[in-house]
Amino acid sequence: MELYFLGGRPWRETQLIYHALPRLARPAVVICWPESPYLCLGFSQDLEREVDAEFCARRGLPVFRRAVGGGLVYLDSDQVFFQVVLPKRQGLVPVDAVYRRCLAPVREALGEMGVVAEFRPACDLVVAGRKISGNGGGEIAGHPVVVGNVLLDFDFATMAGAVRAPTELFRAKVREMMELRLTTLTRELGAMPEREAVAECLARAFARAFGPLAPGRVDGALRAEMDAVAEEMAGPDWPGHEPRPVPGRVVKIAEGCYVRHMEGGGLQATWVEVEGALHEAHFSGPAVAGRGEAWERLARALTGVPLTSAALGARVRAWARREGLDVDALEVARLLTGHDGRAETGAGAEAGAV
Amino acid sequence: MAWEAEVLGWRFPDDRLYHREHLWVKQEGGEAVVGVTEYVARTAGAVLYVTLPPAGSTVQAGAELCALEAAKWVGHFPAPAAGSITAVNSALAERPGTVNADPYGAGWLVRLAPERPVEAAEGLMTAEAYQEYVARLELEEAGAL
Repeated sequence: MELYFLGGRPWRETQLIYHALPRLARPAVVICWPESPYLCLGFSQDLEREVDAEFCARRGLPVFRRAVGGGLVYLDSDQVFFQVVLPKRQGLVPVDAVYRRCLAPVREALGEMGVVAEFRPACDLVVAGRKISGNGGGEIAGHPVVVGNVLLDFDFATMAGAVRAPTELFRAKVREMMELRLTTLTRELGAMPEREAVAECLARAFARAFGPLAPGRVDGALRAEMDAVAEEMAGPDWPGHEPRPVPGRVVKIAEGCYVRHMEGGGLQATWVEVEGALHEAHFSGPAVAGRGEAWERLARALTGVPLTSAALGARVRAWARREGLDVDALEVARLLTGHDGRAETGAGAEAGAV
Repeated sequence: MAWEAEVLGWRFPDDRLYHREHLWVKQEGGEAVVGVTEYVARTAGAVLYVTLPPAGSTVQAGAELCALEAAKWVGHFPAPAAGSITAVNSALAERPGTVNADPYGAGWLVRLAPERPVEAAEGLMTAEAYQEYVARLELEEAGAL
């Protein structure tokens, strides 16, 4: 395998390189960071649904759709990227094993810097439960590819601003939860580490795990392939899928943590899901009008309740009886369980997940 | 499904043929229905997105047919036979988890009009042969990574 130790690069190159390397059958580890900020959308996501286009235009933030999985991420030079292109293989990729293998050196590098991180499936690295490195992967030209980053610092405000939000409350919750559930090297170490030192630490750890790694160079063939990838991605056949009908809105903050929003029956509900339970619900809309305090009591009563129709329905029914309100408990429960579990947007630390 | 091959609890009905990239293909009249096997459905994680080709398009055997995303991983699957796509399972856009829940039924992916009967397509295996193939892969995988 080769090591492309690239340092700062124009933002587009930091994406194109790991798309081009497998097409040239060059297994490699790439370490780099972008010279300017941008947003990166997961392969399967719908651009219009995920991104606040007006905000991005105002801030001059370009958006790139990658060929690998995960959610929308905000990327800038306060993050160091690692991208692993494994040798081509036949058959179904053992995804969990590949993630573990590719993230072990990152965990080791973090340890060397004094930060104890754990692997959390599917592919997060967390420090005391807070995500410091989010990752994604997929097959490109038959090669398993894992990409991710380490957060040196993170611009929570810009990430929250770039997410398409049905309400400003939703956006505020996204930011609040990112600040709670993500961490950075600056936060863990008490000071911003040198970007180059972090990159070198990662490179050494990958060399130990995958070595020996021959120095890689962005030569003419690689440059030409990156141009070819860029051209294909600008063409009509990319990404090859139409927007999908998905109920409501959800932003994934980290594994097990989502901010959700649903509307129906005159009710708007925004809430945080943590490990399958409901937290911080907020109800609004015509159904709530004139009964705001009662619905606030429901929000409190639902805190910590598992997101199942049965559990929610029972709690809503009991609340409606106490309040003397004629509310269809099942309908409220359905609204709160109406999502299909899809992780549409991986804000922030999916932020890691290039 | 009169008979099923089984390995490690994964079932492979013998009323269809199998591709080495873990797809099944079943001839139904002049059409072939394609889906992923239970091996994929049980080991890939919860499928969150299914990307299918447009109905009316044509595919070559071995060329990319579809992509599934699970566990933040995008996996690509080749067409098990050449032909034109006559229908896609559009219900999967809203309920992608059906691929996990019912891979041999409601979780089908596409229907295609094959260039020739699938029995004559190259590289397809019987359920029994696929069972042996999966068992061999699992053994290899245990020591591979």
